[in-house]
Amino acid sequence: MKVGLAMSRKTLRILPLLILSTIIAGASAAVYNLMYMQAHGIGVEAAKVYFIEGSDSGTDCTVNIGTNGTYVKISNMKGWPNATRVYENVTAIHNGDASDRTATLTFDSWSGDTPYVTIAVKVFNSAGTQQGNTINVGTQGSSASLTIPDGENFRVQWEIKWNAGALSSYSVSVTLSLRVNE
Amino acid sequence: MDLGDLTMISSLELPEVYGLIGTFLFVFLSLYTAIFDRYHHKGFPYLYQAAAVAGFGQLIYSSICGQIHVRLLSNLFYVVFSLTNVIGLFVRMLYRRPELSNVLKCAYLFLIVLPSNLTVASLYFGYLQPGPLPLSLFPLEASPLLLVVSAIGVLAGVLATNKPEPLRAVANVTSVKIKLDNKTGKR
Repeated sequence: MKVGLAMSRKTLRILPLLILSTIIAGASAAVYNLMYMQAHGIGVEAAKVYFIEGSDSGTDCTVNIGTNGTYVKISNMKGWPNATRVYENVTAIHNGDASDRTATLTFDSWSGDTPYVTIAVKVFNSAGTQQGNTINVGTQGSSASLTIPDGENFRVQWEIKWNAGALSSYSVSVTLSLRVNE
Repeated sequence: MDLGDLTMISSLELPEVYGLIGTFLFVFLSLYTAIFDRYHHKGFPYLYQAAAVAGFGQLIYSSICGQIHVRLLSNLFYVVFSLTNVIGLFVRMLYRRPELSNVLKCAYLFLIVLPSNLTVASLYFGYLQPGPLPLSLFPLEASPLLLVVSAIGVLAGVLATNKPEPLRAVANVTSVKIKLDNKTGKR
């Protein structure tokens, strides 16, 4: 009986210590994990794949390359009604890395007078061979998978065809995204 | 995951690993001396618990203070202090407690003293790298609150062990008050 009483007293003494120990150990582990994440610094490096201006830039359309070449804005491209206008080399995707890079150019979104126009985007290598599928603007998921060799440029070609009834006031805006794999 | 992503971190870049080991050692010593209280002073568990709370506080300070040399020095000092206590308790068991069984002494030596010292030495000399813990029980936002709760808990434990009279008096006053309330309620 006495032994049992002593044991229960001891248990009562150890229990708060055990609870405190759990709190201290758990909270210390949380702080340590935070410090571990901070020790893993996230650095910056130059973009390995970036956009450069194509030969059509400045004459047939305006191409503005963004900071670090990670985005490009193309403006003043036009098309005729009921005829396909081809911009062969608006911009190019350059692989500045020392090894091949795989990338995917995908249709993201568009807006404006979209029912009156058909736009296709194609990517060609320096030998003039089309790379990946044709991107049909307006079709979700339409993309071109590319493997760009080191130091090579892949030119991006735009084909624009307005419907016969399209007015000169009509316009559309298109956004494509380029995903470069590590 | 790509193997190239597994960047190794040295313990000198993350000195909090020493603080964490020191805290865990003090927590262990506290529980150990509480379980084997026949052979140790009654105040030891609370003393070690207080040291563990201090280690936790130091970890919080490290997360706020960004100076690496301050973090390194404080954490190294803390882990050396905790290892000294681990060894000190073993020496005390050897010379001051001869009645303690050899099995217990050997178990303490081979399960606590040697592994803890070897782990810290391996971390320091680069044979081991710190890694993330698989889980952390508490949200970070609660850390300061938990620090205060822990400190109050240790203080209450110390009071309950060494100066139980004030706590008993408080308990008696409360029980008398409850009895009086009951009596008044009956009337």
